[in-house]
Amino acid sequence: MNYRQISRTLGYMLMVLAGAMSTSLIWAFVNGDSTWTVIAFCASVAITFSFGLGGWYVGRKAQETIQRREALLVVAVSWLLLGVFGGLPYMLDRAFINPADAYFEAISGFTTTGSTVLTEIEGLSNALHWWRGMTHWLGGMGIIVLFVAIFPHLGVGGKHLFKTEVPGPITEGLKPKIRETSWALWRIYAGFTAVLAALLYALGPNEADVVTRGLSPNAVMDLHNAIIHAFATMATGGFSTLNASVAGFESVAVDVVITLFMFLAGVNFGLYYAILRGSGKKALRDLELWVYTAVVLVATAIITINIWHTGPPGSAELLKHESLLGSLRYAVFQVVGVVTTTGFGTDNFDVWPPLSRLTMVSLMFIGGMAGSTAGGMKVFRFVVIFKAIRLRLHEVFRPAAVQLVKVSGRTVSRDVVNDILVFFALGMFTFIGASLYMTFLGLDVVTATTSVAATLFNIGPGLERVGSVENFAFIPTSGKVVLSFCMILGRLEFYSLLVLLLPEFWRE
Amino acid sequence: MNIVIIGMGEVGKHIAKVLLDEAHDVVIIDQDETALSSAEERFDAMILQGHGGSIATLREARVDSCDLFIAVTNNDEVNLLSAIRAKQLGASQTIARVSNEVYFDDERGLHRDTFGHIDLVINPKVLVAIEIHKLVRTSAAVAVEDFADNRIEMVQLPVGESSAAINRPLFDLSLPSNTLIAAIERNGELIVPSGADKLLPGDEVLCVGRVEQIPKVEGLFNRERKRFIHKVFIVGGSEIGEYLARTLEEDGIHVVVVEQDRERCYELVELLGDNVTVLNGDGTNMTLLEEERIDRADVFIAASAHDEVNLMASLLAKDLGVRRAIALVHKPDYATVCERLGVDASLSPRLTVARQVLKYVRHGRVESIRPVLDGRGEFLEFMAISGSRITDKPIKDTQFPKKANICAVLGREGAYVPRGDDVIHGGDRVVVFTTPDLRARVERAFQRPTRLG
Repeated sequence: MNYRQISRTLGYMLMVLAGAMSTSLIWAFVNGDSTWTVIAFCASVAITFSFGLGGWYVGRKAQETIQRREALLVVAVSWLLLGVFGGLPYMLDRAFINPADAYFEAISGFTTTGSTVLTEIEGLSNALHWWRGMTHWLGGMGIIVLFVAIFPHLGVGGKHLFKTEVPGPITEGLKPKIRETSWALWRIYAGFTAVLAALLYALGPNEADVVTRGLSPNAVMDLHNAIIHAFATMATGGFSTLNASVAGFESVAVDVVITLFMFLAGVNFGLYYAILRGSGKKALRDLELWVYTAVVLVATAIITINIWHTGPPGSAELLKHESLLGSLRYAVFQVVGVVTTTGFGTDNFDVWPPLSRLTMVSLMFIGGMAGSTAGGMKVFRFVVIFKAIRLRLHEVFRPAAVQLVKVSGRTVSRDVVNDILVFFALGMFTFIGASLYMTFLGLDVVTATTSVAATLFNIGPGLERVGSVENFAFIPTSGKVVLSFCMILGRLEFYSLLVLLLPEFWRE
Repeated sequence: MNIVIIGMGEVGKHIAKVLLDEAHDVVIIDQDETALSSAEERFDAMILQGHGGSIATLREARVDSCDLFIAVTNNDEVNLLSAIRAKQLGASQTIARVSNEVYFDDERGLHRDTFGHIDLVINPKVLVAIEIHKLVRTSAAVAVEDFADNRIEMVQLPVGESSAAINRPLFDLSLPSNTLIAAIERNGELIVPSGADKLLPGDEVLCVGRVEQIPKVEGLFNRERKRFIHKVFIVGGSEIGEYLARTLEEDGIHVVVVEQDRERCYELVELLGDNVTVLNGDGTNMTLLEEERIDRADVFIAASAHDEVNLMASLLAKDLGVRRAIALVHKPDYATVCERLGVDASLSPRLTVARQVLKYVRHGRVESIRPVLDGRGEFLEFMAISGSRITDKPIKDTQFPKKANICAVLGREGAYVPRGDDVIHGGDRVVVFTTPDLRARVERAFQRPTRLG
């Protein structure tokens, strides 16, 4: 293992992180945060940067490029460290007292989960809100991918890093050089974010609306709010600046725009690249895209009809579901929010009828498309699993027939099919194991299982005590640590973190 | 004609033999001494030892004055290079055999002009696949030949037991318009029929006509075998099998490919579409064939690299109830045995290539010669020229040899079967059926009279 090289790469990564963190200071000044907040952020940036510098210094004479093992270790350690350094502002700005809370919140941000342990979200400083959004945005396309895009010296090592971080079973370069691929992805990502922020800024409630409609004073869609929500949407994260999440804006326009962009964020970014390059027709023939769309449409249809006229007597939900159109508005938002693993809320789906609640839980497992910023198992994997099941059944009565899984006319190699099946098994085992631990901590079955599903698949809210209007604050410290690991496992798709547990990995 | 042949493999030998029988001047070039010495013994030709790509060797072979240059070594690159060089040195026509498909930009068996200096490039595998495809398409035929740019076709059909044509004089048969029975094979004997002849069960008819009308003929003589093809079995997933599977799949036929090598199976699945089932197994495995309901298959094609496997697999398949079995036979000697044993049709890749090459050899006025029934009869294709005896007067007045038969003409109005009153014009393509001994007399009818003195 080339530890000097690892140290240097981690050092660079921390310096990028410090740079991103320093953008929070802009908002501390612009929106007038307290002096303490400014000091807290300055200190966080300084600490992160000096660790980065230290890491670089240790590894400054490192030879050779990063190989597969080093890449796995770098990515795994990076993500573990992200929680530590990303959590610094929360601790220093006195948002939390328990370091596990800060770690959980930071990891929830970077993994674009969106689960929170904050009970009073609107009490945070402007700079800290910005940092919460920034963690989403960096984690969405991948901080390592950004890092590969920025640093030219990685060469083929960058490819190893890239493949380890980008979700999905098949990661292929869009351009001959991995650095250019990273740039292309980040440009598309940033472009979408900018358009969304502009739309939200233009369509969201202004100060007059807030007063006339009696919204929270923080619900004014200023630039700060617009960008943070754009970050959270495009990264499929789910952190909002409001206690009531997107529901706090009470705006149809905002709902529609965010629904659309959540859906877009759940699409394979490679398809956008193909469309930009003029091969849009081919991109639209992608089977995964249609299955993804069909899942959203079918789930929306079921839930719209199921929740129509339902809700606890006298509740806001009953009022929301009075008309079919109202039901549709809230159903489609929650469905897209969960299937893309964003986790924004405009409706408390914890009070929905059982069919709708279980539909939402099923959606958590599916997730968005491979190559998107969404989490979950990914639609592509389910497509392959279903095709593999069909082939296997066929083989039972016709053993001589040789068949391969083909998706959109392209063969999925047997190695990849195998990999997907193992992935599925890993996901299930982790899910059951972590759920058992949560019930051991005293949580009820629904809360325990959905809290794990919500974090493992980077969604955000679950059901019951971790439902969309609740938070994760009450969970014991050890439970928060377990859930934090679930988030990283889910974001890195198991392998990169689990290989570190194999003794063989460490042998030279 | 002066002809140079490079490569004395099976193809080269076969071509040399046919050309020498027709009294052409042949120069043979090869590197291998044993091949050359056996050629020396068999052929009255000029024999040169040397590399086909060498300018010196080509000069020595007088390529500059040759009419046809044929490169059929087993090395694609040598064939291509020598053909290009021959053309540059002044050969008037060049033909090269190229097997590797990477040299082709599409999947046809023949290429003209794509290689710049080569007149004809032949891909044996694809060519064989095309020939087999032709046999499958004309489901009842034993052999198929096409003439005049595919506008005229000949099929060799066995007469079925329950055919309405049996025991009726030929003039009484309602043949589709513009088709004609050129010959009948009965117990190994060739009969050029007259209107009063009757067909017996077990006969095979050679039917010629407009290409669109030929499928209708099949129903008349062989109702049992004429049917819509739904399912085809291919044993052997070689390149021939792969190409066949693809073309048949495009016709909307369900194809089952049986291949022994598992890795090759995966390759095939990747290359072929969803309407092709690839089975990993032995094509001579009874249980496998039975389990796959071979009795429901319309055509069985044995296309593996081993003649013995192909023969056995075809016979097994016939035994299990397949309607029609076609076998690939690499050794030309096996072909006759194969059909005698009950295989419906057999095809030799080398002979197919040789036949294709020979189509381009002009024999005086003959555009091409297609021997049928083991050479006992032959179809000749002519380009009629005005001023010759055959043109510009009713056929019955042309003193055309009685035992030769003008089967079809491609004139300005399309292909037709001529009667005694029809007139052939200069530029028409004419298909004549005759026996080899009459060829010279037939040819004379198509020549311009040479003035003496």
